[in-house]
Amino acid sequence: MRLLRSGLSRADVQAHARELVESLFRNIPCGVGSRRKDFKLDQKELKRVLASGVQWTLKHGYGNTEDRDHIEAEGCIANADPDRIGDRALERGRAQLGTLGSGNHFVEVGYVKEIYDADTAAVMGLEKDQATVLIHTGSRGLGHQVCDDYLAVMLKAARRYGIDLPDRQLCCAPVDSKEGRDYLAAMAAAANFAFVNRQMITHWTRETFAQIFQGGGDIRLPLVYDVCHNIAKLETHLLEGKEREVCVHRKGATRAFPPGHPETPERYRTVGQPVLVPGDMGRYSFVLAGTEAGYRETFGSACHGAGRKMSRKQAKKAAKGRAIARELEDRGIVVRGASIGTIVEEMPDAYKDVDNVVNVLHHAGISRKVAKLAPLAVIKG
Amino acid sequence: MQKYRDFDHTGDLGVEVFGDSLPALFRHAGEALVNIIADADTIRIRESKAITVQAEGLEQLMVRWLNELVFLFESEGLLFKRFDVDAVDSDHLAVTAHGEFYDIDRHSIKTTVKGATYHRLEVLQEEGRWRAAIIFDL
Repeated sequence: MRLLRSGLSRADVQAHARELVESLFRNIPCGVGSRRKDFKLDQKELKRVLASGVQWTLKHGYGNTEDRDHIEAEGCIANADPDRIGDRALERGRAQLGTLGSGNHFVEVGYVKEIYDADTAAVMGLEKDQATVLIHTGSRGLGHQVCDDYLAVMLKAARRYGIDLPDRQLCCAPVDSKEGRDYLAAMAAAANFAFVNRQMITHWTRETFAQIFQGGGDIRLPLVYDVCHNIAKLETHLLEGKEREVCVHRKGATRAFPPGHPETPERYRTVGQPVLVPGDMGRYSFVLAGTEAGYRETFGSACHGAGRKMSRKQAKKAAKGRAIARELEDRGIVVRGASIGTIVEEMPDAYKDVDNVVNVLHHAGISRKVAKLAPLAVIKG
Repeated sequence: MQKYRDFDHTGDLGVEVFGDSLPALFRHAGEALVNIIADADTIRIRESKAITVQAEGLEQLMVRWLNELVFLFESEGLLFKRFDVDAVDSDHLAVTAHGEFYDIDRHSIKTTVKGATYHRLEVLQEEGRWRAAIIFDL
């Protein structure tokens, strides 16, 4: 998940919403089989992507050092080993690097609707009415294949280590075992794929904005922050008074590091790491900041989104007789999806109200509300 | 007999598959998956492909079977309409699959599937009828 900010205003974007959606849809591969002709990697190059993450994009002109410095782990998880990734996963990765994916993935152009903490917002470069871009995508089929391949390994390992499984999908092995180390190395490579995927989509988003807003306004779209939503990280935390290295598994959760932490980017060191919590395409999303209390109580973690309240089946039923895209347009939000089912399955009603979710974080003190973002133009795979 | 139906799962998609024999169960599971991805009525039969899957047990066999279909769609663009199960036992499945390559002008993609999971997975025989419950990661 990442957030870009801009020197454009809500009005600037609204005036070009439809054009933006069509151009983004054209420039960012969204649907099945859609690829950019100018972006094809062989397996050798893909392995370089997996090994070096965002550094690869800097080398090839798709990103800059400012981007790198505002990504979790600077866009490269250490100990990534592309050789821990099987051929099938590599093939899926080659086909899908630089593609958005469907389901809950999206590119959303919006604006800052409300500021809760003006000082922190200013440090993050956010101000009311400013146009923003949220990008949500990850390791795609490569990541899923890595999971699938290692499930087979872990199922055997769990039996060997005498681990009782309440559900086979929870199969596991000790972190320090060979299976554990191999998996972490493969997972790190998959995470690097995801960082690069988001960076490629950022690059094409920037190109799209440059095409549409030629000569007018600041269209550099600097990166506010980029976080992982599904990852296991080796981190040092204080436990029972002692600093210990632990494996923090954030599943549907995001890192939320406090002010002063060395991994919080220098720009944000006084205010805390930006925490991005997307809602749905009809209402709003939030930017928060990590806190000391959160660091102590949750290993520096926050939720990653609103969470669904309807299954896809229920969403389809609820959408019967309705034109969801038209309803959104009536509310000033232009949406374009590559597959028919996605807009219905991802309709706003299918999600919890993220305002409630974020207020829990805020009142529990584990992250602080900074700004609310609202959607204007959304593309989905 | 109903071949398959979906069941509620908040985050992803659950499918319950039925068959009066093990080959029928695996056939219907393949059809259920294809129908999640695209409208099977729009798929013509122009290609055939032999698919073999090995596993340790029926549950792993089912997951690997379905993931093979996902992989063939993603990597080769193959969408299958009909499956002939040539052989199946607890460790091995051999199928001849019939369909065609994805055509952006004729096939509308309903949902893209990342793969079948082991989450709450069931493959069992109840009163002579086979039933499987599979949750797909979307």
